[in-house]
Amino acid sequence: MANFDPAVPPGGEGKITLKIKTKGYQGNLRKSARIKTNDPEKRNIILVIKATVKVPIYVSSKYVHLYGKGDKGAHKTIKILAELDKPLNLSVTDFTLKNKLKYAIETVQKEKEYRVRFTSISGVKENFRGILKLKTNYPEKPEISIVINGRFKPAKIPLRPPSSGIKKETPVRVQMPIAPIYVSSRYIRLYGKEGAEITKTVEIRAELKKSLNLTITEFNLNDKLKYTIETVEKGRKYRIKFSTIPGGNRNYNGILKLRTSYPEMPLITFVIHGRFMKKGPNDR
Amino acid sequence: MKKLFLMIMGLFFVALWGDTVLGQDNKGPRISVEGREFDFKEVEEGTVLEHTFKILNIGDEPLKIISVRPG
Repeated sequence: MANFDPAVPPGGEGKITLKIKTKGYQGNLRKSARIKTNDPEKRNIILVIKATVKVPIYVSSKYVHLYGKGDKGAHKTIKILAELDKPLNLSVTDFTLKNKLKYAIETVQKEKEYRVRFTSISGVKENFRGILKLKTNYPEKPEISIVINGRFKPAKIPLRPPSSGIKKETPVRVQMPIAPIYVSSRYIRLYGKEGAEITKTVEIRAELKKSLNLTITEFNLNDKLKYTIETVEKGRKYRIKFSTIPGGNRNYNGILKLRTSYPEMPLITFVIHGRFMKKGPNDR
Repeated sequence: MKKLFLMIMGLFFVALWGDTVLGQDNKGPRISVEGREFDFKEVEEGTVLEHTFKILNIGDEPLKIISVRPG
């Protein structure tokens, strides 16, 4: 919490009050506050309050996290220490994880120091959250609550549920439907500097066991672009090479349509984009 | 050579003067805090700690505290 004077006149004095509650803290405490001002040289200032909080009973951790994997159990130990010069006695008043977790209270130094050891129960593989409450004979601190969190993971996460009939565990491969004709790309992007010759090549391949023939049905970029169809493997594999006509420097969009001999895919359409940048002063 | 030496010395004094005289320029809002850290030393758990930091405006324009955010 903070209170402060929002404005200080030239040559004047102001106050910033910081308030901190120490309930629940133990040991070293450090709290800071960031002050924002209109001083152009010190727009942000950090103010710090420090203290050593003394408690009647020191508990090394009030939160216990148990993480287990596979068959490996998990365990955690916390320390409880009397900080006042009088004997400390503890007794359990509540434990909400009876079937999931074991605990043991060990006396390190009679009526002065104790250790509480939490151990996971083998076979319990589910996550849980619970509490252990201890009653003390200190009126300054009559109760200690320890919150326990358990997180357990299986040793190996199976990729898929085991199915009958398949002996060997193999990763599942999704069978993609094969197109009757493979086309490496249907979008031809010719990007470059104006005046330069830009080329792009695409491949067309028959995926079925029958002869593939191609014929041009439409091309609307005759004055801007050249193309050549090369037969790599007769009736099976073709290559189309697109190249810009030097001198043409306007951006364009167009198409090339091919008719195929396959009724499964009678038409292949290529969409062509030509984009040209102006030459910069440093370009030769 | 002598001229060069005198020139370097002259520049050095100008820089030093600028740093000391101009550095003390208190134009605009200027904050000064008396002690940015306060240690309460040992306290009992449950105590509410409260401390007031004094701030001075050593500038010639109003100083604004825009916000105080606990970190």
